[in-house]
Amino acid sequence: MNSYRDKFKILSALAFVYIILFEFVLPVNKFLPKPTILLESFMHVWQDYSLLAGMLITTGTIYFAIGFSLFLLWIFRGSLIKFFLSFSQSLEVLQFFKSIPIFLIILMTAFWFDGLELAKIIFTILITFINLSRVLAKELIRTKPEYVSVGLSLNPDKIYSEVYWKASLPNLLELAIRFQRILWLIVLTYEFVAMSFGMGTIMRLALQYRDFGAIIVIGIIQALLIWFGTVIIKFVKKKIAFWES
Amino acid sequence: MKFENISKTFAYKNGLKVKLLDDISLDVKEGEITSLLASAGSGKSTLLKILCGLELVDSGQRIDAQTCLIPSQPSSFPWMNVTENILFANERLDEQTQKKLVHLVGLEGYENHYPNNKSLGFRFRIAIARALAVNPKLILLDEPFAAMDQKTKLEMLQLIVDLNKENKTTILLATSNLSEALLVSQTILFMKKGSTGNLPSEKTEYSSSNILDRMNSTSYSEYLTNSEKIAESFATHQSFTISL
Repeated sequence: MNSYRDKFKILSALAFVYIILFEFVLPVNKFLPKPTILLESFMHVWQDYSLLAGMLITTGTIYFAIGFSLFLLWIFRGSLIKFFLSFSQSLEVLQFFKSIPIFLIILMTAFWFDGLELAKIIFTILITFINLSRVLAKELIRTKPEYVSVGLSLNPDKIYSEVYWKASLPNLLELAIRFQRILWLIVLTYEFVAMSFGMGTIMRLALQYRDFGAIIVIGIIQALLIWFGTVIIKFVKKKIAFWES
Repeated sequence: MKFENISKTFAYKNGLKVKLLDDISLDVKEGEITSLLASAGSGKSTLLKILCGLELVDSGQRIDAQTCLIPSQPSSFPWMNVTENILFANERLDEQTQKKLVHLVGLEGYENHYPNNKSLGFRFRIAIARALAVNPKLILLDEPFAAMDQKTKLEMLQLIVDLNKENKTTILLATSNLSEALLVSQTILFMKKGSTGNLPSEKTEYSSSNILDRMNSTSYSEYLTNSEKIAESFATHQSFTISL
């Protein structure tokens, strides 16, 4: 509780310093806009840049990809876990994806599909699914042998879907929390490059118009959305993987 | 239940081979508690894993003795409550048997409790109930009391004795603690690194099934003295824990 209070105090202090410096002390500059300009930008980005629609598309893509990937993993957990445990090389193959430059994949996907909206959604789901699978494969190795020994006499499918899956779930959701920040960057970059609809494209437009106030406002909104997303996933984690909290 | 000529060799990546179990034979009497007293590194955990089919013997065969292993860190699933943990082992368990098991391990009133953040003793009780749910011929306990405090340890030792008395459950307890072995088991098998053939043994018999009474009995002091002699002559540079 105290840490929240401390964070609030720090943010309030920074906001106060910013208002004093950039509103009253410093002349107009290109580093940070005046707080009053920021306030005006906050009003006009919603209309001029259709921010609400862009926000819904980008946020929807990101959190749908996370939710849908987790759902796919859950649906196919038995077969996937069996596969990962049977082929020890599968983790190495999945780890290989880590070393492929993500920017290259973004450019290639944008190039192949001409910024098609559906391509963006499938691309985001694929990236998320591969990363979550990688963590699942990694977690399987770490599963306590005593958990597995309990079910030696049971049907292996039950062990895969009940023991391995549940034992991996807390870290899988933990990765979802961390990965959503990276996913924001990936999706924004895709939209920025491919000019498909979303917050990334809006930021590109704002940059083209040299609308500095809008860029900062969109950035603040993104920060709030990421924070809200983190809170939601943490809440879900607390409910689903309650034994870890 | 006789297990004969068990050998296990581990081969390392650098080509080095270590024979951990060399032609060991052991006899576990049905309906009794037998202790396997061995110091760390002598291969008792490996032997237990072989007996429950987790490890293969050198011939590549798996021993199927219908056993249930309870490891040193009792492995109750934190995402399941007490009842779910028991039912996981045997879905077909009827309600009456469920209640009986919960009663046997002293978890009445805790059926809906989750084992996370609970004591080792609590998790051990669940592990025992779950083991009993599959009705195994033999329950293997791999140093389950090592990390427990004195009070919990005594409670769990009592639980083991009561289970054996009421249910005639056959138990093989692997331990490095001589007192634990002497207080709960009817037979103690002494094992050391490189043991071969039949393991030397010591028999115990008490008039009371209460652990504290047993601890204070003259029989216990006598068994302790005898066993210490066996252990000393047998273990050479290895050591067992004597007191609880």
